[in-house]
Amino acid sequence: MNLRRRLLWALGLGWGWGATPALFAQHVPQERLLQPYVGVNAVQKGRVKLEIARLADNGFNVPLKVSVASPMTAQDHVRRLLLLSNRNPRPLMAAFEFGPSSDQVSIATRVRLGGSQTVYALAQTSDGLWWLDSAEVEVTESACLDQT
Amino acid sequence: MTTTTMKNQNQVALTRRQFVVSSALASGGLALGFHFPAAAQSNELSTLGGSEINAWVVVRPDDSCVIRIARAEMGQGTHTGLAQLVAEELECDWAKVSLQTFTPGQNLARKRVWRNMSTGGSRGIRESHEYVRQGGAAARIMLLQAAAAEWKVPVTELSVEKGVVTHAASGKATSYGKLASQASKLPAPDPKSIVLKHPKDWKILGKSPRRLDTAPKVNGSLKYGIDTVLPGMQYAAIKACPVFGGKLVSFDASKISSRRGIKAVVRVDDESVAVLADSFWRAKSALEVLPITWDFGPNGKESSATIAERLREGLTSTNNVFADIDQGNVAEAIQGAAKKIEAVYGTPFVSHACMEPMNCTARVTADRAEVWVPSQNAEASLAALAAVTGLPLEKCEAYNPPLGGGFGRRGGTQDYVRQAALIAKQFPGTPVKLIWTREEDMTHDYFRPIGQCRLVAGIDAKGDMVGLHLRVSGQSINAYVSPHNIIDGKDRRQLQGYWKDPGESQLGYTVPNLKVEYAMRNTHVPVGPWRGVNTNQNAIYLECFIDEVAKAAGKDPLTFRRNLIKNHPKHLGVLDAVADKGGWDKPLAPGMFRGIAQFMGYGSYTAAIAEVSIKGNDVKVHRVILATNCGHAVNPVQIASQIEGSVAYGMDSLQSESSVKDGRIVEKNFDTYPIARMYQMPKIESVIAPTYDFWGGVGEPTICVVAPAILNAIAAARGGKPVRMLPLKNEGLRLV
Amino acid sequence: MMHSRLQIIPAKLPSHMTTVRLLIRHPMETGFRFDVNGSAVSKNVIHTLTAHFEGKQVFKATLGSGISADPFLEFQVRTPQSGELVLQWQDDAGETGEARARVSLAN
Repeated sequence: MNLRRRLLWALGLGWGWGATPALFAQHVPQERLLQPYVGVNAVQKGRVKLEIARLADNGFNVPLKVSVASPMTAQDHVRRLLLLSNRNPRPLMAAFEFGPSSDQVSIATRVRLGGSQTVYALAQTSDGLWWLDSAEVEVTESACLDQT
Repeated sequence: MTTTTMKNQNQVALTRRQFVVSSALASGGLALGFHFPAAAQSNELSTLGGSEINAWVVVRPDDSCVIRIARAEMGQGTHTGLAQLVAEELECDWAKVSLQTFTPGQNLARKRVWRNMSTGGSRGIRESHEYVRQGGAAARIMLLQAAAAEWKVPVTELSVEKGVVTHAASGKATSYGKLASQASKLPAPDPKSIVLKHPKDWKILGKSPRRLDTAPKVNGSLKYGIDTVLPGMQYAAIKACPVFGGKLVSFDASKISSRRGIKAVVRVDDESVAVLADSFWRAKSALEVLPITWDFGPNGKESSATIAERLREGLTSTNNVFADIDQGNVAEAIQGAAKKIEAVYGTPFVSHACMEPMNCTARVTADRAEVWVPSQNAEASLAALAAVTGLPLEKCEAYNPPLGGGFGRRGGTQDYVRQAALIAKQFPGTPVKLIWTREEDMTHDYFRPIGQCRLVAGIDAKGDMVGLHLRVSGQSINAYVSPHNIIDGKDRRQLQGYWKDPGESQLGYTVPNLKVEYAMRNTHVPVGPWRGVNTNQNAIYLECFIDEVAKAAGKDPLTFRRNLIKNHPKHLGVLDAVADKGGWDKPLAPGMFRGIAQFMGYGSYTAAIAEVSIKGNDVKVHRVILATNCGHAVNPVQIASQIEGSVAYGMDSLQSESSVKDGRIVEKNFDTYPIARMYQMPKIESVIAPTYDFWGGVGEPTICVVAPAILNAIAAARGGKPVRMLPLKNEGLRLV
Repeated sequence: MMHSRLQIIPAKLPSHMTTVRLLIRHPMETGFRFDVNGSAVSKNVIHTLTAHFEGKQVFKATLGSGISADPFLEFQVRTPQSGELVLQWQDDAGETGEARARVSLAN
């Protein structure tokens, strides 16, 4: 077997699968997704808890809940919370602003997911630090459509 | 009736061997059965008395191996193929293999260890082959490690065949059944260290072991979703508004509620009403005479004529149209051409017409919801159930019996699950079996989208095509189901088969001046994926038109294509294979005519030749030869079976349409919507010509070349007069 | 006039945490849908929502097409004493909506 074929073989799936560009939206890598908001700052996992079902039906109405552990004092509180999608045509789904008048940060809403993806909840605390939680959601209706 | 040959057409790859369908494994079918969870007691998947080596493989003390299968079985044989993939790497005895399926709840409970359960897009094998083979290989490695540890010898000194492990140096031997318990305690090997077998070493893959489900299907013992029976079950018949987008205003239950066996008449949602009774006949009969008031809304004025008008506008409009390919200068090339050929083709809405009508059995209480539903994606059924009941996924379950036809209707669209759950919610604890009548099924489909296509070609003095302008004006599936998936307003999916990019659905022709456009023109009729999706109508438009151009150029259709296709060796490969097998260069008997077509879809290359004769208005299809290159052939007989099935399905769409009048679908049953019948079926010959350098799909690719090959044969029989507007009855023709 | 449903679960002393639940009737038109002629339907979503308690802003949400039609929002505000809660929102077409409620703290 010649070298080229051996190489193609080693690639496992081979070049024949998934080579069509831009047929549907691709997933944005995490770093590129968060960069417009966090800039060069580090993002830590923690303090944020994102709750969303693992499977969603058609993606039009997916309930989610986000909470951020914080004493919510003038000195130590959550400034803002962003909900991001790594697949939707508009990555920023919602942004929430809080002040010390917020008692705790716990949001529930319903989002639109344009296909199976990872949803991110990104929070910035008053000290300027960024915190993250993420969850994968399989949108089952699109699982069939994705298959051209 | 059918013959199949395997052909190695790639001179670089392997030795020039003819793979012949082997019956060597035919007798060693899946003897030990099929473990199907009709009702899981818990989220634990049973190990059936054996040890779970990893998620994919359970080995029992008697050396029998249970292989876990994630995808649905809807007649395409994916279960057998997936088992073969695992068994090949596992090195077990195929005669001792049985299959086990699991529920989506069990998959979720194990963090989706079995990954995707969706069966569609011809991806059952090609999407999962690598990780299931790795699962089989990993289990083999762990079993060998257990033997090595027991004998205190290096694992490299061991060999295994058919589940028997031997150590040559010492003469020791043992079997998987004895090693299973120890192996199950070992850590899984690093996936990166696993090397999968080369096809030339395949013993189980590439062969065609007999399927388990053929006998039960023929003798009627197989239980489909529609056969579900639960204690205390009630039956529901449903009517949704006949006009899509309309609303249910009211109904007068008093007119039927005193009929025998009627339990209730309920509003299901804002567009449907259902009757619940102790038998389906009683429910259905009562529903037929229930007075119902609908609000049809503005869509009540839509018809095939209003839709056709909109599509026609799109053919030449400058609005809402984009070019996916625009190379050279098509207008100039055609303008300056020696001869110009122009045509408009049209394809109607087509219905899935699954033999088993839509159905779902649901049981809902305050803290648990379950459905028994034939589904192409059990996870989709589960998600739909959770959404409608408001219960979390963990409190829901979906059981997936074998399907009496899926074809894309039972995947992303789970409307019958939502309906059954909404009814069952009103009767907590009572199992409700919802069945759609044939009429409801046929008029409430997610149809193959309607479309028209305008093609203009220019040929030079030598008869070569110098320019081609193709524009599809039709309904977009994405716009109906998931519009946000359309990037920059350009729905490329509707141009499937015409893409420049290699890999999935590439255009096989090279034309110096080429423009391929799509004008989105929508309707109120729901559309969705129909086996082959857009490759069906796109293959008809292009392949039938190419024959018209060939005729105008005075060239043989095969020769004309060969000239266009020379830059695409794999497209050419199947064209040559079908021409060879079909004896294109040999003369036909008097009165017989032939047509040829080639196309690419779902990662595979296909071509077909059809031989027909016409008597008056009766078209008889005598023989269809098909060639496919799907990359790797896991189970050749199964591929041939898929090809045969695709011929039947392709012939359906030649003779039927779902037309629209007063906003609703007209054709309600098989009297007005004819499908392929046994007596119409031709002799089918298939050539499977894998090149082993990619993994292409099998369920859908061959369907798209069936209709154009037959249409081209019909045109040849009529002295070159093409059939442009389907179905055949528009030309007064019918299949016999 | 945008219809909405506002539910207040007032704080139970000594906690000052009041839960606010709002459901607004609005299509949240994404701008990605197409009409029968293939033209995109214009985007129109509720883009800004604020909550004021006793005249002071206590919460702000910027929403987009990623929020489902008939947007639902639940959040907490600190209500140290009884008072009036006013929610206001606006969509891309310039339409505004409002919901108010009296928060009465219980013992």
